[in-house]
Amino acid sequence: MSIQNTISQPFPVRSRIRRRTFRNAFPYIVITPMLVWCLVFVIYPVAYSVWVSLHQWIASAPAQSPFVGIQNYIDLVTTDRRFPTAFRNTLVYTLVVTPIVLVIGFGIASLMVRVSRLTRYYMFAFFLPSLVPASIIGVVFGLFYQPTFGLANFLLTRVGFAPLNFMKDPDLALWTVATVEVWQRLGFAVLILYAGLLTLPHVYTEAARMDGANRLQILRFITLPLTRRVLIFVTVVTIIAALQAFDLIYIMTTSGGTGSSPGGPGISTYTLGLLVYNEGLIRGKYGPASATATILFVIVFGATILQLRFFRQTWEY
Amino acid sequence: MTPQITALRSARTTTPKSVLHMLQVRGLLWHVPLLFLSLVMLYPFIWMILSSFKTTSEIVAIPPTFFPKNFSTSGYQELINKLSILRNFFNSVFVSGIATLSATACASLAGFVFAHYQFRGKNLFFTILLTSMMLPAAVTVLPLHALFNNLRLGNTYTALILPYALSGFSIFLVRQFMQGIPAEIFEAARIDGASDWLCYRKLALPLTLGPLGGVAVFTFLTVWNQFWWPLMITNSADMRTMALAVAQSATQIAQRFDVLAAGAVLAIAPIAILFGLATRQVVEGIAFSGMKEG
Repeated sequence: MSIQNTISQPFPVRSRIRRRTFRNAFPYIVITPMLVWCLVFVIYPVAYSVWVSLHQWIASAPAQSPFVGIQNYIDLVTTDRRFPTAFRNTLVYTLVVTPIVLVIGFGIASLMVRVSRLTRYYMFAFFLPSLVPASIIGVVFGLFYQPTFGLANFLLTRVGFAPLNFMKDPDLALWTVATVEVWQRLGFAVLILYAGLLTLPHVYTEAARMDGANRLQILRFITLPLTRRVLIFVTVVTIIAALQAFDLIYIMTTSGGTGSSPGGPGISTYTLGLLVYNEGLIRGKYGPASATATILFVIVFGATILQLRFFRQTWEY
Repeated sequence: MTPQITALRSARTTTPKSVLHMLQVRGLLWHVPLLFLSLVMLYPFIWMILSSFKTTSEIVAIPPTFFPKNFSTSGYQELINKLSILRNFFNSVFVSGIATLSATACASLAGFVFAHYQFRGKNLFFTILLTSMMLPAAVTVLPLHALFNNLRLGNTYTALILPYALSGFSIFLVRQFMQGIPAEIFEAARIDGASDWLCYRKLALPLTLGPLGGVAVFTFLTVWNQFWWPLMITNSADMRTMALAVAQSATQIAQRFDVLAAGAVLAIAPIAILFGLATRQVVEGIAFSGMKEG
């Protein structure tokens, strides 16, 4: 065990009943039904997705679908007009939403560790949005951002700005959704970071303060490195969620009075998730839809692994 | 620290008046931004609850009103009359309830086994479970849609429940709690003749019941919120879940904003109440996961 592990896990928590390893049927009895579930709901969808993406899929007669190799992928990149937009939107959306969630979440969590009253109320207030269905949130904010009678424009005009078209403006629609995404994802970051900061040993910050470190130095050299694990966890979870953005966008672009068509106006709010939905379910083009889904999975999986590596290399202490 | 400084510090901090003063000023100082931000977070909910008691004409009125001028329940009446919202409500409770029971029971057993047993394929299986946590819905919905329709299980409760009957995230969380139990306890029980099942039933389960409750509530809320899968697998109004029904009413009855607001309130109320009652358990259940594993 390396020194780092020893520090972060001072007590050996991993314990196993080695004596009866392999001769004991109990774990196998427990695990087997779950393994079957995993085969159906994890392995099969991934394999099926990849398989379909290599065919010109005919949903009514799958056996007769001609094998086309990576043609679906090539078509997506070269001829499909929406794929590049969806791809770019997915990445930009994630790269904007994640840092904002992290910074605001860290700020709120640092404030929360300084108070002792009302913490239960704060937990409730900050985490409730994360627990509400995205479909409902989409409806509520659809009304909020409604251009004529929505509250957002009322507030904007009150403080002297020109009213905005929000969901009806192709340049603004995605960012309107992004504000809602931040509002919804914030609670999870606050919660995890709050727990992380609460368990931070005070001795280090105290010692640094004694040595004359200022607040910024304490944050940079003590607090951030010591909460590294928690920060990674929040980053990974937020990125995974943001990359999959679909339901908020779907609802906010279709619900009453605000939007136009899913992914609209035009194709301005298309993400990879939305493209899968639109191609596969609305238009029945399973080949391109599965190819897009596979690409999305690779991105999510790759991003997760990259981050874990990146964070492991830096910030060692 | 030299004795002098210690004396100075203690002299400064033990003066009753200054301590009180400092606490008041400091506490208030931190509470101001927190209260403001928490109201920003809750504002959409408050606004929606108030809107649900307005008429459509008042919701679209310029300038907007905050409190309803004429108290109206037309939105709720319309919901219950025209849409099968009570049936949708039951669907959500039923589907989320059964899925939570199953997922939590499985997570508890699997968490125990993953924490305290060695078996063939353990690491591979755990990796698959972790992968399931980052599997985009976009990947799973199309194949599962085809599978369930081929099995003639489309538009059934089975189809709504089965994909959530097991949760990699729950197993992951419970494993963390289970690892906190020292193995010596089980070894002692075993020497006294306890079986594996008894070790689980009489020791592991009772010792993790608290956090398990948090995991259960979180699972319930997660299933309650599902949108993609119910949207795809149901094709009749009476099988839709709350989250779905409200969203669809948004597109169907576009001009009745009072109905929309009322539907949103009905969909969120159970979540808010459940979370309000179990805030600490849920928070501890989830926060624990971030702490232990990066």
